[in-house]
Amino acid sequence: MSARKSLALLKVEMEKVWSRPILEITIALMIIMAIMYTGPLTGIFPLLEFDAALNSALIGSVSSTANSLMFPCVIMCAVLMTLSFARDYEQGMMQSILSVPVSRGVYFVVKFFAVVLPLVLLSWGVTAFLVGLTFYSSPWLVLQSSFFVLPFSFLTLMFCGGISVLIALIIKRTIPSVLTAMLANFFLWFLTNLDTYQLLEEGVSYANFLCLTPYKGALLFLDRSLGISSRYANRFPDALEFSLSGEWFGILMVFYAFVLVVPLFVYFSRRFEICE
Amino acid sequence: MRINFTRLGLIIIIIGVLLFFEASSTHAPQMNKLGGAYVEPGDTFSYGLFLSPFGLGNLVVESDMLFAPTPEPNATRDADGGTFVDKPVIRQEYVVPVHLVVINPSNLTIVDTDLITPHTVQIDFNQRGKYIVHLTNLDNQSYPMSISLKFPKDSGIENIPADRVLFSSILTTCGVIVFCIGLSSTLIMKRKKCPGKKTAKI
Repeated sequence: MSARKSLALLKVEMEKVWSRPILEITIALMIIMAIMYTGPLTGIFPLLEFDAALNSALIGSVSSTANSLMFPCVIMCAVLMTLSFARDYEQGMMQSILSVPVSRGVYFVVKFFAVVLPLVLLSWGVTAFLVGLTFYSSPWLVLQSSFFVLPFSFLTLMFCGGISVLIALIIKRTIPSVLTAMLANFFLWFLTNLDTYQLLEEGVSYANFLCLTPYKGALLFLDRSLGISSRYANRFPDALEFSLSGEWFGILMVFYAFVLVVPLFVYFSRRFEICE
Repeated sequence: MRINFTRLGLIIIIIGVLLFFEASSTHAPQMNKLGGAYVEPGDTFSYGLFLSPFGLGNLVVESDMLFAPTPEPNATRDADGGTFVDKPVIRQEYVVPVHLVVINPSNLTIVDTDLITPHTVQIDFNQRGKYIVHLTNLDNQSYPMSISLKFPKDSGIENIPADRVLFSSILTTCGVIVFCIGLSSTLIMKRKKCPGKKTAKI
């Protein structure tokens, strides 16, 4: 199948997935979540420390904006991915398209990235836009630091998409798979809100391993990439969250991103029964 | 690829309206304080203020120090050797002549005056960015110097970030214009495609 045909298929799929009012709702949700969690920045610093303090505030603002955008991104990715796969299967669209000479692998990739890529770009765009509104006096620094959001969102949404496709291909019914994918992703996102420091203080046994969960790991990967370190690192130097480096979290995120997508791609291309 | 102006306009309106609500509901924090470092006679201590254009605010120049209360001779000691003191912290305020200079983000000096602490200077923060404050101790003794920024709520002035309000208003207006262009072009295109009953009459 030629690249031109694949691009045409991607365009059709994107128009279908992001039809009115999905894109509008997604943007509105992202802006609402981002402005809810990021307040106005005012501060008094000694002049000698001013530039360092401002840079640190800018980087913190990128991190907190990306953090607040995670929830709408994950929920929209779960809903759209399951809708894209389960609804097309239920309505017979998948069977019709695959009856013409379209490679199954290309079809899977097109459907997957028609959801993931716009969300990644939206996440980066909203972060750069909102941080830029506060720090428009240093646009290059805003652009530079907001670029870290791209790999973070991509890896997060690859995992989220993978889990949603898995649910859609198992359940094969639109509403149940949308609800299941939303619940599964909500649960995984909820773990990011647990305060590891407090849990470690209370001696909770699983607290040490929370940083290994996909979304918490992604946030830590972003923080480490931006050079943000936890203020509790000295208190619990042996805890995994504070002792693992950014590279480790990066490797973990790449593993999470492909652990479901690659087997699903192989399964969809070779084994998946579309004529039930 | 054809751009759908109606959709683009609607998205810009959504962003503009949300930002407008956020900007108009954001108020300046009531107080920010930094300082306490001793400034030698004739020396200057400089601060940088990062601010949104919140409008009129009060810059308070003070020379004060907080002292821990002295414990009673027979106070009980805890396991670490510390003592429990049931007294408030003592605040010692000094009257010091200082020279104050405030430079706005466009490098214009907006305040250049001699004053005696504690003193409040009203400044119009009409730009976003770095305001530089230089405090020079004019006394012949070293004193702790601090500055604080106050935006009192009961002054009747709305301390909202003016640049954001302006930007979001412009964005909403642009969105409405793009939306109207899209809507009218869609209507014109539809008319051109289907001339309507006129053809049927002919």
